[in-house]
Amino acid sequence: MRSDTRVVFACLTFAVMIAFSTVRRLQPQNNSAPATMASIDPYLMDRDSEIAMARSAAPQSIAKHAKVMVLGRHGYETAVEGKNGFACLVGRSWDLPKNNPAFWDPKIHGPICLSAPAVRSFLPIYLKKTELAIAGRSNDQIEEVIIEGIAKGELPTPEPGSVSYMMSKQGYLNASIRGPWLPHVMFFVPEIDPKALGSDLGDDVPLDAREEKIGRYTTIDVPVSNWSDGTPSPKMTGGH
Amino acid sequence: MRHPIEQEELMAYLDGELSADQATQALSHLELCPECQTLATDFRRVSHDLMTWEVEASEVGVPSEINAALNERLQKRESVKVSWPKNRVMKNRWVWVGALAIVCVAVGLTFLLTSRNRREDRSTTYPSMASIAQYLMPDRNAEIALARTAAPQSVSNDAKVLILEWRGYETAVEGKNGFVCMVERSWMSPFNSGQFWNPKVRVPQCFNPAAARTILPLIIKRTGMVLAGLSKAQMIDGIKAAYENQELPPPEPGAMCYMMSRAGYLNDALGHYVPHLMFYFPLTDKSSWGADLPDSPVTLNPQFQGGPEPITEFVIAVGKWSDGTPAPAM
Repeated sequence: MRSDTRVVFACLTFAVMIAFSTVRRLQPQNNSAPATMASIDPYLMDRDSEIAMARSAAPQSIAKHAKVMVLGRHGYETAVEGKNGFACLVGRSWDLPKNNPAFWDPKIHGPICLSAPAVRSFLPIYLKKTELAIAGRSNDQIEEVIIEGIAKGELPTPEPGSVSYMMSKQGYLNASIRGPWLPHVMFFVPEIDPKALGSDLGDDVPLDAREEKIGRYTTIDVPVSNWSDGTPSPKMTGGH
Repeated sequence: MRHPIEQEELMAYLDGELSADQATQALSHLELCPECQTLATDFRRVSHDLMTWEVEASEVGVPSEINAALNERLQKRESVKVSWPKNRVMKNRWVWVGALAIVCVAVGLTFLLTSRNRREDRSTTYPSMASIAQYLMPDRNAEIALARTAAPQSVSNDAKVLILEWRGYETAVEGKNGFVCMVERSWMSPFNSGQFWNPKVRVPQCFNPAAARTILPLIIKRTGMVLAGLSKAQMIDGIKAAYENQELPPPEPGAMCYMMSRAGYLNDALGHYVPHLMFYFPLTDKSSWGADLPDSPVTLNPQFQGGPEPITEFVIAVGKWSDGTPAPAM
């Protein structure tokens, strides 16, 4: 993998996290970050724009028949009913690790379309986080509740076949890359060492895996060649 | 050492002509008998030489005197033709027209029949197993190198490498990172595939530890049955039974493999294909993944999918070959 792609991969951690996946402690506690959400207003979007952005996560053949969820004042609500078992939505910052300074950054938007198994076994964790964030819980409290919920079996761990598409050009996944990173397919598997997938063994490996200790799963990201609209991803096709 | 098989039987075994029981007996003896192994190697070499033997064009030219004499005779014939009477020329013209028409009809019919047969026989291009020698790679180091091309060096350098021998896959290089690289052969195609016995197929793969525990045993099993001379029906029954009695395990979570070799040959239709990763799951519906939908980067590999293995295999193309060179568009 080229050095520029290496830089992009270094940023992947953030991207994955905001896409309901990786919770990895990359950065030390930033005391200047607010401990709770001040107001929901900065996180809300125009409803139609949010529906369109959510759908841009996957190719039309998947997204057009998917359920679409948008963020409202009391949490996520269904904006469009679906037919194919997939659910598309725009993730917000509170899925980041609790120590990340961007934990309450309203600019962060991670469009994602989740397969039916991921809707059943992964989405509930993110929805619970959202509920707690809106209820004014701190980042520490959110994490505690999630850990406890999984330990008690009230929250699920990933089912086989839990996969998601993150192929939107419109995302803003973190403050470092200020954009969508690369189009990629991401799937969730029960905890497995990333090295056992080849991740972190070298820069020439075309996937990136992260262990999410809190959620007890591992995400595997495989960059793909095209964005959801069919245009080529320059970094995957050798151009810039 | 006593030889329970005759030389002729050994040759028949190498050509895949023995029954399952006889093949198993021959294989068992071959494994233990250095003398027979040498003999088998000799047979393989002869077979290989015969297959690759071509009649070379003569380097000795026709002597110029003979050439001159032939030319002179040809010229005389031409001059005789020109001096034929007119009515004879006309008669001959009709003969030529008739002959030409017959030739055209014959060529047309042949073309039609051949193309129809080609369409009909596409699935039976390789109707039966070739001699085992054709599936083996004579150069052990070449097979090790080919196996390693399946994944980037950072994965394959420390991987265990298996190579195909007379009795099945054997460890050629011990590994350190839990990955296993090998070159799959045609009999890992779906049982109804026309490529099932294509001896040209070479599919380099590197399995991660989860796949090495749960997918590799299936490859070892199928290969063992093939080398023992079992029929497809027997193999299918054997695999079904192996899953039922849990001799073969279901795919572990995270089971996957790298297939990024530009030196592989997947089948006559795909050639090298494109570099990709494959992920294994217990049998599932491809629609749950959005696989094979327009513009979806995920495709279903029909290799198993319940026929009879209870395994679903998804493919995701990646941007580069294992050597770092860019891949062609999917």
